Amino acid sequence: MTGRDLSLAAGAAIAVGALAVVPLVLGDYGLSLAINIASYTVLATAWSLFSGPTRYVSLATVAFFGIGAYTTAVFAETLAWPLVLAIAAGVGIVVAALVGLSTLRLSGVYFVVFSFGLAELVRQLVTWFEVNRTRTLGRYVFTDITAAQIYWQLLALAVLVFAAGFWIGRSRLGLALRAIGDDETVARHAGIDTTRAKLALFVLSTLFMTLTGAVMAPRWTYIDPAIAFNPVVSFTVLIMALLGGVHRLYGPVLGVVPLALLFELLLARFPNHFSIMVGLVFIVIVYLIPRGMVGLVEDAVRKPA
Amino acid sequence: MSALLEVAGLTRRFGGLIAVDSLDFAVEPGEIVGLLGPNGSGKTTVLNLLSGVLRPDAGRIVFRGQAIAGSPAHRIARLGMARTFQLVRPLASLSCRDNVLAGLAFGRRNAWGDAARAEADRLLERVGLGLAGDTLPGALTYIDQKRLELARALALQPELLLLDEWLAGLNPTELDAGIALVRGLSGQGITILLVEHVMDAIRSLCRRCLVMNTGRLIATGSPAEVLADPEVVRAYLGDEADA
Repeated sequence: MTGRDLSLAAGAAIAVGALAVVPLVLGDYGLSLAINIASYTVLATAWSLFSGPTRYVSLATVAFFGIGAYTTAVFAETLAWPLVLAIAAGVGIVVAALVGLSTLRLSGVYFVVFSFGLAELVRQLVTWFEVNRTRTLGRYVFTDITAAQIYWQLLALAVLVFAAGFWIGRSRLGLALRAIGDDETVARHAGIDTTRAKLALFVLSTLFMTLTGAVMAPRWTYIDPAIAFNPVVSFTVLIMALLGGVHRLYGPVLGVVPLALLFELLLARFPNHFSIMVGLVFIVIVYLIPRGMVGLVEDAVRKPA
Repeated sequence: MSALLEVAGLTRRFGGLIAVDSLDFAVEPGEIVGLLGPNGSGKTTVLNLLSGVLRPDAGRIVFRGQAIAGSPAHRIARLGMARTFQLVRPLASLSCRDNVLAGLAFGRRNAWGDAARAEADRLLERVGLGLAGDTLPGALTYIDQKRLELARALALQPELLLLDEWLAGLNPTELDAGIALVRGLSGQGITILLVEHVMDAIRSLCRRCLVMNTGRLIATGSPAEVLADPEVVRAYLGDEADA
């Protein structure tokens, strides 16, 4: 470990410590906002963990988020909480592995379309199962998990996703993924098993999405497939990550915080025109800040020099 | 001594076009073999079939005693076959050192960490890019990008190196240096199959050439022999009646 690593670790520890006391300081409204930001931080960082280096744009975020949420809805009443999370993780990993093996050979726009279709497919499967087997569409989520506990779990997930990203950036896997993002044919000719590298990262990235869904489910008290598998979540995560910038680990957070606050404001002020406003925001971001906030920060740092 | 590479009946079609038509040849260990032919004769397709970019429609490829036809490219690379590309393809977002490191980390060396970084710098120096470790490939000249590709290929510690017009586009001084470099690699026991149009290079490097036209092998022999072969002349220049 170098001195720079140590100071980075110390800074991260202080930041996490400060963030951990947030629920004790903020009121109910502030806490719900903090939960929102924490959850999107994990989702957007996990998203860019895979999509950043490989440049595979995934719209399947909510498929895994929803799988996690539904696992909680089904098992939270009867099983111990860690067991619920373990089941969610297991289901998420199996689905991600199956999906990854069958789709990571697709490239470009085909993968985008497939990933969007996947979320819809899972939603329809869950709906079909609920209607035909359990005969009810919605489920109540009764747990004694408090909002503060949800926040702390999300904070823990955020720490883990950052640690994973930091480790990958310095590992062989990180080098393999950057090579794949540049030129997959060349990567293969350097001896990289590109399918396996992409699959490993896809599974890891979606694991965090699944767990976020599982942790967030108690917030709703009632979920149905339309809530758990709402495609807006996938688009929001995508645009947050793009606004922040996917080529730095800290990038997505820079997109999550302003957008989460902006969406909160829009929802309060323009509840009937929310979707139109969000659409406009998406367009403005893509046109005006194509390299994301990280690009702005890096330009600002570079200019004086 | 058995051949390092044996190709039998190798065939690849693109729609109705037969790009490679039941090709047979072998490469012995230590050789430098030139693969010649007019544009569109199927040379690059042969390299793509050998290195695993494309799957053959028919035929056998045996490399170091293992059948590799249709194997994924990364497995072939790890077995000891490395290549460069006709149009240079550096990994643009990686520094030159990391470009080479990729081959070291995932190839036969399986090296990582400080030792691997030092080895990457050594390979860069070997191809004449000793100071470029931290540079991005985009900042290099075309020639230096070619050198970088060679260093990345060498990182795999290949037994067989496929060079796809690696000497094309060099000025006379660079060409001499390039030829010396290739000969040096051969001197270290690397077997080389090179696709090339630069006749000076072929004459000075290859003792044996294979000449292709429209997907078929039309001549083999020393450079002087094949260049005097009437069918080779016809392939390059056309029939007298056309001229």
